[in-house]
Amino acid sequence: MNFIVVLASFPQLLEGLLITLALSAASIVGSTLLGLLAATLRVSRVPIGSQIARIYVEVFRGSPLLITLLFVYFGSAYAGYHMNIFAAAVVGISVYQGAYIAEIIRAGIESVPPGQWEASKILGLSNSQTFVSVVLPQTGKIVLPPLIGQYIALIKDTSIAFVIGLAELVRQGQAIIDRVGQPLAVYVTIAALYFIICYPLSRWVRGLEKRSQPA
Amino acid sequence: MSNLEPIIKLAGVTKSFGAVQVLKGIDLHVSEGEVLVVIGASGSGKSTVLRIMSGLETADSGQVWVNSVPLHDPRRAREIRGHVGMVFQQFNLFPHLTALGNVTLALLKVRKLSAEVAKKKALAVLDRVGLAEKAGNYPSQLSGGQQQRVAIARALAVEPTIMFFDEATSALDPELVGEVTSVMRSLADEGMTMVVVTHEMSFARKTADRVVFMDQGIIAEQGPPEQLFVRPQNDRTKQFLQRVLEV
Amino acid sequence: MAVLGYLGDISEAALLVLKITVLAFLLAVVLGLAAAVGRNSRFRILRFGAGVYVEVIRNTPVLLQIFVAYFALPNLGLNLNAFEAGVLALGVNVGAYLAEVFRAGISSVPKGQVEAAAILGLRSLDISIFVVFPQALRNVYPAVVNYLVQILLGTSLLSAIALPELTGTATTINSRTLIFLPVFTVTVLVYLLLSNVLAALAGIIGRVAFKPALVLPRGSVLSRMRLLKVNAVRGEVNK
Ligand SMILES: Nc1ncnc2c1ncn2[C@@H]1O[C@H](COP(=O)(O)OP(=O)(O)OP(=O)(O)O)[C@@H](O)[C@H]1O
Ligand SMILES: [Mg+2]
Repeated sequence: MNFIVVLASFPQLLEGLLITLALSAASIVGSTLLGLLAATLRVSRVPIGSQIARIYVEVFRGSPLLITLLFVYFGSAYAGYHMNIFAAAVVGISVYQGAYIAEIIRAGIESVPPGQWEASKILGLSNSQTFVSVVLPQTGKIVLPPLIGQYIALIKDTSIAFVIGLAELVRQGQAIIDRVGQPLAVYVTIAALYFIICYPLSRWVRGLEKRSQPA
Repeated sequence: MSNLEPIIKLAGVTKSFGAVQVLKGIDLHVSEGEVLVVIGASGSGKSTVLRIMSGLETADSGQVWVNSVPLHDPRRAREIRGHVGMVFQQFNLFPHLTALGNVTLALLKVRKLSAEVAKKKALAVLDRVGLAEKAGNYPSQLSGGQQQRVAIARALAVEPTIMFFDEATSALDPELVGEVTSVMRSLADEGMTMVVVTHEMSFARKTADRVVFMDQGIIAEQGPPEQLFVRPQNDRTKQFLQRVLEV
Repeated sequence: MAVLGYLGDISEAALLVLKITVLAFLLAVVLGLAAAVGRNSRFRILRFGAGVYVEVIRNTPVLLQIFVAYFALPNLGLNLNAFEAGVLALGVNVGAYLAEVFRAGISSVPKGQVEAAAILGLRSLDISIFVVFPQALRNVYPAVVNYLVQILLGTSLLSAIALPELTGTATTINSRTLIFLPVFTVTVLVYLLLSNVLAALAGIIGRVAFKPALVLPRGSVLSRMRLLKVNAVRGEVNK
């Protein structure tokens, strides 16, 4: 392993890292909004809405992210609408991860005891008022650990945008390898960068889980 | 073993968890065939005493002889296993085994009986607690009282010399307590040596040969039930009894 | 529909996906068990090694791990073809997750179970085999099935090392025919079919193999498997 060569190309890796971080941030926002919407639809019992939300969740959780990315990127091109790679990656990852996040939020909503709904009804709150100001705030403690866990998965999954040609961290690494070789040194460096981002988050999740569970 | 020699002997037993000393010097003898009931407030150390006598915990200091096994000697403490029975508040039945499976497990793995003999023996013990016809049920398919009776059968199957009960009825709905205490009472009538931690004062009164009152890690008072319940000497005992008997 | 002409290729690819999934899953279970045992070991080196394995794998992308297996291991003298590299990478990846599942599964068995068995006189090996292990297995089963499905979906990434599995095959057919929508729709349907069939099979096995029957909550097979995460496993105390 020759890390000197890698060090010389480090600026290129940082460029990739920046794109990985931007993609992660945008997709976290997108997937959380979509997940919240789908979860709300799902529990709302609005006849068609909750069915659509259900199918959405089922389809994306039963198929690979890569297919979703290909669908969005090439599909939009075939449909005559040219999307840039970054936008396609944000849309694909948000839609895909949104399905997982929807289930996490739904589990959180359903963990709020029905008595909370009943008590609010008696106080004269409408269903949507109850949902927004009574139920959702209570889901935080239950939802946060798996939600952060899902964000970690999302950050790692941004690497899959490699396949549609986004110049994120792994693709920049591959470019360096094509130029100077040293695959192991390059991969170890990339792994270290991901690790530095994900490991603290993982520790945080573990801390949250421990706290939410009475020993 | 001579009948005069106590089957359980605790001398100067102490036990701490972390910085908290839970037992502060316990001296206690139990004779063969005796039914000893231990009462006391929550946290007074009742379970800990029972767990030390059954070998689940080791004392920090003092001597513990049970069934001629020196439990204070870590090298020999294991010898008690399979010779005493323990019934837990939470039943601790094996949920993946039927009532019969729960009772036969030790007969097969410890006693090395054949499947046929073990089954016959287990059914006999289950019959004794009135549950022979539930032999094929899993714990989740039994009521709390039935589960606890299976747990008693499981303990009895290995023919223990002593039975320990740690709040065996505390997790039960009130109407199910009777079916368990009546099994316990019949065991006592048959001469089983028993140490019973319980909040059932009527059981203590009717069945105990001797009652021990524990308070903050020591034995504050002990004596036959008629004495302890009617003329308690210790103020703490009086307060405790007033509180529990009022309810 | 031109896509029908390629059904042969697609089913061949689906078969390859199943083959990789089964092999990688077996590897993952073995590694997961080893790492779970290692993390609870008396020996510091084993604890440390297992910990590094679990943390490094869980905090780096699986695509990177696939690339290491395929492009970097030759530098260390280990030449794997795409199939072998795929099985290795997916197995090693999911093994790290299963290690945590197994650990949680074992600690989810209440202490009272071990105590009850110990007082009956069972030796510690017998306690593990006849009391702890069957209950732990039941507790981890839904999460393990979840990871089985994750491996299935993960095989799509092996198209990046030119393995002709489903996604790769779909891309090839597409580049040859340009019938994008039908090809990728069929591909998605095949993935959905495979993942749901796997989960349904696992559900049936769970109902038959566990006593009393392991009945999972209502809902589609897949979502109920997915929902039961390690947390749920840890929290589930048997009555
Ligand atoms: N394993 C342990 N670790 C730490 N502290 C413990 C442990 N077991 C018991 N204790 C503490 O020791 C004290 C005595 O516990 P013990 O269970 O013996 O009381 P008890 O008389 O049985 O009470 P209860 O009626 O509530 O069952 C309590 O304060 C308890 O919190
Ligand atoms: Mg107690």
